[in-house]
Amino acid sequence: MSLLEVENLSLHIGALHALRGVSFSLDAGECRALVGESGCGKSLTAMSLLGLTPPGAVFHADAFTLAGEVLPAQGSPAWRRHRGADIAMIFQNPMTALNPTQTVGAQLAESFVLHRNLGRREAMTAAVALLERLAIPQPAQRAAQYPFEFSGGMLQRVMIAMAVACRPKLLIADEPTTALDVTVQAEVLTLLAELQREQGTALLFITHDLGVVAEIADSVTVMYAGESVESGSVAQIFNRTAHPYSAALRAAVPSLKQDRRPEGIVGSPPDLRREVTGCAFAPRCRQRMAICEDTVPEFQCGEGQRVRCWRWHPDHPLRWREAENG
Amino acid sequence: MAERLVSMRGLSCHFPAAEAGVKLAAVDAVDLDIYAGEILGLVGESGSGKSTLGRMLAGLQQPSAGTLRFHGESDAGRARISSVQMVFQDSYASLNPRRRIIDSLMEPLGVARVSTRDKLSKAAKWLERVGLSRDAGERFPHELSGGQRQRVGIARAFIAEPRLVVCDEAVSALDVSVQAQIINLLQDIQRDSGTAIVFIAHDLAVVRSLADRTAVMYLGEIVELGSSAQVFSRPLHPYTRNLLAAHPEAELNSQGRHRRKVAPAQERRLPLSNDSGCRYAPRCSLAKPFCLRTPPALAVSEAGSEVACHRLREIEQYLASRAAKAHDDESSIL
Repeated sequence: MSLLEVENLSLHIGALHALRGVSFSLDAGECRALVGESGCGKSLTAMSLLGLTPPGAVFHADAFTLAGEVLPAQGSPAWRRHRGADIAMIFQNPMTALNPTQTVGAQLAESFVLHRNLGRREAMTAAVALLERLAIPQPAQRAAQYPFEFSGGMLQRVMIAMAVACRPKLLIADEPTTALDVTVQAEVLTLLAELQREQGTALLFITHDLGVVAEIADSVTVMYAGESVESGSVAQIFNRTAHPYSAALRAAVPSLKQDRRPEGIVGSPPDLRREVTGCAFAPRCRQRMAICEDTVPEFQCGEGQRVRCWRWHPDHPLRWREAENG
Repeated sequence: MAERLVSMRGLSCHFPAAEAGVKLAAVDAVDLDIYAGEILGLVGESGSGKSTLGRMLAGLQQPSAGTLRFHGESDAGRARISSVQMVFQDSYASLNPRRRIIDSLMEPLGVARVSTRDKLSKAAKWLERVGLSRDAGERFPHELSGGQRQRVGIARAFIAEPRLVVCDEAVSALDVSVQAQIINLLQDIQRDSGTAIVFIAHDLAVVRSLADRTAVMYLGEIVELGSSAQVFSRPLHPYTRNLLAAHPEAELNSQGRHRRKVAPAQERRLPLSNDSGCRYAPRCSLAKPFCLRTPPALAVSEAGSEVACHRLREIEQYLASRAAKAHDDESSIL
């Protein structure tokens, strides 16, 4: 039994079928990367896990549990008990996620007051201690400063501190390092990995950057057009890529070490306001078969790996040939 | 050697800083040549001055000192418009939302005094060249996807047959699958047209896949300049080495997990006009006291690249001995 179970998550927003079957699980202390391109539904998946889907959205899931407990209906006031305490979130842009008119210390202290019932003074002491833990020089003076007085990397460290302050079971990070310079990005990732290990938090890391995935993730779920199309350990995803979309995504990333041209993926993702027939990736897939065009593939299990592709169906002969070839 | 297209000598762009008498040296005394038909990559972290340099090239920013010379024509006014074009990061903000795509495409031709019929046929030809359908020309920017809009941005930049196109983070806002398409498109167009490109990006792998030569900038200065093969496979300047080490490569290494080794980033510093010594020295693990006093000039390395570091010779010796040792180890195994 995993800490977080999400099975066949579906979300309609008006005519838009934004999520069409997202499945993954997450254990305590595990870091799972949710990978995909814009519009694939990775951020909406995160928002569902905070109960923050847009009003009027129609939500369905076969399983949606945290530590065995079924999570409340979207938008329900019962979420207040989970948000910030059990499930915390780190956003991409710390500048817009923090209140510009409050000091950083006050904002850090707030979560201690709300979730740990500390008094204001104790909460402030805890906030300063946390800044010190983040290796921010002169933590007491820094706590009295406003967000604009911090650099982007330092603010993102503050956001991480705020998110882990109440030792959540699940931490969701939505593109937390995308806006940062690479040297700063490396530091922030190291900090995140350290805190996660220390506290045994489960981390759902949303990103489009496969380089960051290779560095931080234990397991990976690749999403395309509102569906999970491949799930597996980081080694499986990188060394035994199964789904043609995952493979195409990898070929599109330019390399610093090898002198090769990145390959684009021809075409564009389907319009999710119309019904998708067959495999959503089929029109762009080089390995498309007749069945792909009219029948939706299921998210099949294979040795520890799940793939939504007809070529990986148990009855498909190619699957075994490829597995033998490694 | 190809024909020289642009020469910058001591090119600087200083802005007023908070302190009186001190200026913010966004670009500080840059010497750089751009050759006809090459792709020159410009890399560096935010605040390194790479965009300001690009904007000076395109005439969008006045230099505060130094010379910027376009060979073969006067560098003023009208000539600049047809000889230098720019592709911006935000494809939506750089197109007029109230104009059809075809009208935006024809605009650079207006400066070149061409008849409307020729303009239309040329615009249609370029739509096709960048992989867009003819009917995309009749649409408005908001009706296109980000990748399609960036194709329009590229078509608009190349349509007037400029001699130089400055691409400022032109692919950074795009998804990787689209980014790869645009990189390949740029490369193809460049090969056909022979236009020089200055490609500014923070993503090192993108620059490596495109650029013939690469300049690495740090706090307003060029710290390393050489062929891309040289800069990316045998970096010499300590900053370049640190920057490359910080790049997250989308591969697992033999131990399974890729971990970057990076010198700790320091508090962001701004380049000031009264800085003394090497601007990288406070972060540099190899810095000696004299590095903090005397600014290093670009010196030619043994491999032919240019590096601004007082300790260049020692770094070269160290790398050579390490390579020799690795070679010995390999031979002993064999």
